[in-house]
Amino acid sequence: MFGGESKAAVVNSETGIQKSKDNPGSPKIHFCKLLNCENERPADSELKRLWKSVEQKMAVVPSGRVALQEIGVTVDESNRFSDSMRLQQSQVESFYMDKTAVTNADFLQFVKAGCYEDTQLWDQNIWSKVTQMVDQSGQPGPKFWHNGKPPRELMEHPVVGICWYEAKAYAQWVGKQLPTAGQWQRAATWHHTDQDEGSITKFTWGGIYETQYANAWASGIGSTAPVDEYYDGATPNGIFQLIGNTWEWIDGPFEFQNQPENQNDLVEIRGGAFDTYLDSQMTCQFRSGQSRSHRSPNLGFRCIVPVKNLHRP
Amino acid sequence: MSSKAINWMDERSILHCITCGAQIIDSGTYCTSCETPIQVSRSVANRNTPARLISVLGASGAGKTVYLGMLLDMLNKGTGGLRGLPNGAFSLGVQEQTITALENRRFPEKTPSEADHWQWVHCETFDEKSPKRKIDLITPDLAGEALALELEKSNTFPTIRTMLRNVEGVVILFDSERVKVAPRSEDIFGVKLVSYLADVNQRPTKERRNKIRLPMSFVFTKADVCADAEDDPQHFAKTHLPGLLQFCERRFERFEFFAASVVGGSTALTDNYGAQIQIPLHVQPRCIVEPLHWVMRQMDKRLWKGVI
Ligand SMILES: Nc1nc2c(ncn2[C@@H]2O[C@H](COP(=O)(O)OP(=O)(O)O)[C@@H](O)[C@H]2O)c(=O)[nH]1
Ligand SMILES: [Mg+2]
Repeated sequence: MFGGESKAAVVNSETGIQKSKDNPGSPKIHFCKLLNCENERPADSELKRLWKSVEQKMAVVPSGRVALQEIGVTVDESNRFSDSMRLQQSQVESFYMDKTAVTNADFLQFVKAGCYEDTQLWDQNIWSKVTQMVDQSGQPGPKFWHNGKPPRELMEHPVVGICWYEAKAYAQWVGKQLPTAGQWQRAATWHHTDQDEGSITKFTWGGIYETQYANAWASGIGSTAPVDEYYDGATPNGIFQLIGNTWEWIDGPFEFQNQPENQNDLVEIRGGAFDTYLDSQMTCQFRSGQSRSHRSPNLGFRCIVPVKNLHRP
Repeated sequence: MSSKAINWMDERSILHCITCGAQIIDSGTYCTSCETPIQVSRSVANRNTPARLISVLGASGAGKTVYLGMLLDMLNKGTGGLRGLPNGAFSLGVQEQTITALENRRFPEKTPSEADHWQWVHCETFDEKSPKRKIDLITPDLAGEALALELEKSNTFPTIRTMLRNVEGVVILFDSERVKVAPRSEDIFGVKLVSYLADVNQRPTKERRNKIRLPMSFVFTKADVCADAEDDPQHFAKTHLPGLLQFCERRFERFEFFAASVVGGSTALTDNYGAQIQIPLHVQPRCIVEPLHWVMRQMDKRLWKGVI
């Protein structure tokens, strides 16, 4: 239906309440919803308006190459480990990426729309698992919510306590995708070098770790921050918090050498979180993994859409 | 209960060993009666406040080295209102090796068991709110099964006995996965350990009716791979370690359960001989200083009933 390779037009979410003087307490919606329009093309004026909302909520990441670090550990003849230093080159086409992580307020729209009951959004193999994706009160929703709602004060914090399947379903619902490892890394590094080869710039803001540019263990906050904080750590095209605050689900398995066969349920995660202890593990290049059905307080996501999937205005 | 450290007494520098209280001459490396490194006693003597010992205990493989290494690093940086200064080459080594290993996505090497003398971790620790009240986190990195042997047959290792008689608080580690898959044997080990502690910390007969005041925090380690322990350590203890819990309720005044983890996940890797090895994915310490902090706060509570 939505997303995937199909052409999508852009619609502003019908639920997109903006913060305004009349409505000061209401949370900002950080997402826009894309609509499949293979059969019917919206009017040009409509498309123009919709494009504006994409430009507001998403940032374009130019195409280019990234060098992905081959994950982890190799074992040498004397059975000692060493880190693999090999790089895999990968070409990434241009795409739009959400400027902020998906917030609790955003995800609430997904929950309210009854998406946990919408079988179309979930792979048939995991239907039985979906019924277990409940909050503290047993309602469908992220693990740390109550009665199908996030705590009021956390509306603009990234949604956490959602597994990879929930992130995938949400992405599909808004007509987008989860980023691949290459796309995520390209978004974090495109402005440093066109090639992302040779000298590696570790952080979105430069080569040296700065506690005030990202929410990590060293910042001493110990929990998530609102998605639009840490402006100084953002990329030049305004993508916030790729580094820190929460890990982000990636669309792709976490693979490494010497992996035992058929034992790996891990998918890749990126960027580090508020509780990441080592700054070497929250770089633009560091790759880690987490079990697909894991729902943890430090793991969220954001979405992308390839430019080629969008209609011209 | 705590042994008072004594300052330099004369030119020949007589110290009291902080573990066993024996008078020792400040030369050589180990206390002749209990094998505590003299260097530890010396640094306590220099500081001018008495030793107050907290020890970290656990069976082999419970996660002591990883927990201690992480704890030392966090104390060194200052975490959750606690600060500490690792003392001596071995303590610094445990900290350094653990962090370096984790940075390279490995767990530190297992403690070699053939050492003649145990290596002692010592870290002078204090709450930032009361920096003058120092406590001594002190733990021999027990080789192999020494603790288990001592629990089987008391005085096999007099050092352990002396140390456990003189501690003012303990942090006891259990591997939560092992508790989950083999609860009976872990429960039995736990009961042996706390009854040993009860034995050596028993006060004179007329006070027997009172419970033992030694604060104990029980830590389920590796909670990243055991959601049951992580979600509710108290309940996890109740369902898996009922004997331990009953014993503590009957005999001890103060104890608490925690679930800790150093990493956010781990996965298996096959080495050249086909054996599987656990490797850590990313470092994400949870509940590492809290169990220690809890014990420290209990030690500072004046709980003598009826005494003003
Ligand atoms: N998943 C996970 N594994 C751990 C953790 N801490 C320790 N381990 C595992 O437990 C093993 C033994 O830990 P170690 O500290 O050497 O145990 P010790 O014998 O009590 O000193 C390590 O090699 C790791 O495989 C943790 O926080 N999480
Ligand atoms: Mg060890």
